[in-house]
Amino acid sequence: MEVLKMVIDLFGPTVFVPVVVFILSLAMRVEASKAFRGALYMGIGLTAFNIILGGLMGSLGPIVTEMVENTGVNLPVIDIGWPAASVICYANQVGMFFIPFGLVFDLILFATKWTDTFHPTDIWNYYFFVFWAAIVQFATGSFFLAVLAGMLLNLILLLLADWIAPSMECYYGYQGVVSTCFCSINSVPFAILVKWILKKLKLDKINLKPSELRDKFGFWGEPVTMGLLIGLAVSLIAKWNMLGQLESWATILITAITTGAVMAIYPSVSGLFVKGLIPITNTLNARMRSGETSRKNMYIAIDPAVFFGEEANMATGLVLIPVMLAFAIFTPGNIVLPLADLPALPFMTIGIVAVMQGNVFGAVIAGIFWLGFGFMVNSDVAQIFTEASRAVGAIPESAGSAGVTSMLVGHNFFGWLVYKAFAAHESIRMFTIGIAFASYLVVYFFFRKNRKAWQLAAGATEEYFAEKEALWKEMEGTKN
Amino acid sequence: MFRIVIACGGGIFTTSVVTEQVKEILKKAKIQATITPAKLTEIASIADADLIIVTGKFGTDTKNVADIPIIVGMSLLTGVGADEFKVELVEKIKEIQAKGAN
Repeated sequence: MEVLKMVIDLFGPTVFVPVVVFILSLAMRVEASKAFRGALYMGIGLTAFNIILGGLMGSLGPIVTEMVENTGVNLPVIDIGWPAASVICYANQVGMFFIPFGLVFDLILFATKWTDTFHPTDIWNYYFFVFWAAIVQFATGSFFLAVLAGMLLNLILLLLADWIAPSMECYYGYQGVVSTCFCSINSVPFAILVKWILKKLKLDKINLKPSELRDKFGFWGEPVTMGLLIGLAVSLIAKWNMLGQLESWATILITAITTGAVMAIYPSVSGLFVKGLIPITNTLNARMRSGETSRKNMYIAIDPAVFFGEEANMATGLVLIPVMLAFAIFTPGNIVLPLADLPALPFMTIGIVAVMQGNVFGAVIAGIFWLGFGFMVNSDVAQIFTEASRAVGAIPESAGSAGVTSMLVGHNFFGWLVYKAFAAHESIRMFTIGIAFASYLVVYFFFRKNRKAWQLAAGATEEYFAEKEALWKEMEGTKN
Repeated sequence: MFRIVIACGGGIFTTSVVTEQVKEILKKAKIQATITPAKLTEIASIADADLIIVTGKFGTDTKNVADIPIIVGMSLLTGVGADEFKVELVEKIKEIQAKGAN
């Protein structure tokens, strides 16, 4: 064990992540040449990402610190976006371990019918909950507790997926698939509550025109423009008292261009990193769709990118961008400066829009509260996430005291609750972890007992269940 | 050279999956093209491309500044209907190229 740890530390994540992924790909019967190429790109992507992130943090980090010192606008934690969070997460010990471990765990859960969602096809998005496991390790120093926390979050995620799947099928119209991205569906229980309240207040009949909103707010979703503007605004505030000096203007404009540049090259660099996991996803996808597995209730996990562009979802997400910028400034105790994840906000509204079945008014209301309060939990863990990022060498010295987080990954109440339970003081930790598991089990059994009612509450229609019933009977008939 | 933009929500994961496969299709059809990743939120303002492929079924109604045709490449992601898409893609590219030549 000691030797293994020494070797891992010596070679670092840029070598070890590809090795783990290569072995796993072979075990999943991916073609060797494809597996090798994918794994290699993953290591290259990791390296490239550290360079890009270094550029951003080296430029924006000191400016943010200056802004805090000079003006009291206390937003020292930079939202570096989900692509960066994923890289940091998988470069971590727990993250690396969870790629093969989570896959096996998910296969067992599906085979034993504990869940109806086949999760491994969305292996790329594991980092959304493994992130929280990684910071549990940082808070407790225990690898075992971190893995346990990851498992509990995986279970919660699959419960949410089973719950929302019929509603997503009804609304988005993709058959037999569901999003298992935590950021897209962690809002489901809250959205159901808001829907119920709006109905009681008789506000559920109001609707807004999604296509008009989408076109009007489209500007907020352009990553390069947003990067430029936020870089400009932050450095202007930081240099407010020194605007008479030419050097200040140089810094302001250089910072703006740098943030814009980082936003522009993010997709290309992250595109390299994800190549490692694509062969596994493709192979599993092909196997799941070959028709060997036939079950009455079965949902295959898919990346939320295919739901993102739906009109009402895009409208809701885009409207929320300026709202969230305002929340960042006015939410008490918030220290997160929204940046890279702003154009990605429509990822966070996918589940809400399904629950509301396309009612943009309801979705925006639910989104404002859900994402607004999200700043509080995100701020609470920003420091420890920054430490976890430093440990894998993702933040350069030049960044100074500035911290990092991601809105999509850090705005997660379930992750936060589990983290709190696992990171509680040692004297009560056994107890809080017990409560966390027990709460999950209670909700799980209530869901299994009242499945259809819960799924109807989440937005699914009666017709959907009738159609499914008829289809199943037909399939049974052809078999005999 | 023919210019293709492939777009999804984040311009990263499903975009990369589809890009890999489009590259293979183009290689087999002997078509030379550049492929650029993008986000759905950028589609409206893309001017320097000949064809846009989106990975989900949404976004095809987006009004684009240069009226670039948008097609759905979801089948490359899931495998369902992928063979039909391969034919459709090559035909579409040839059609656009023919238009450009006139």
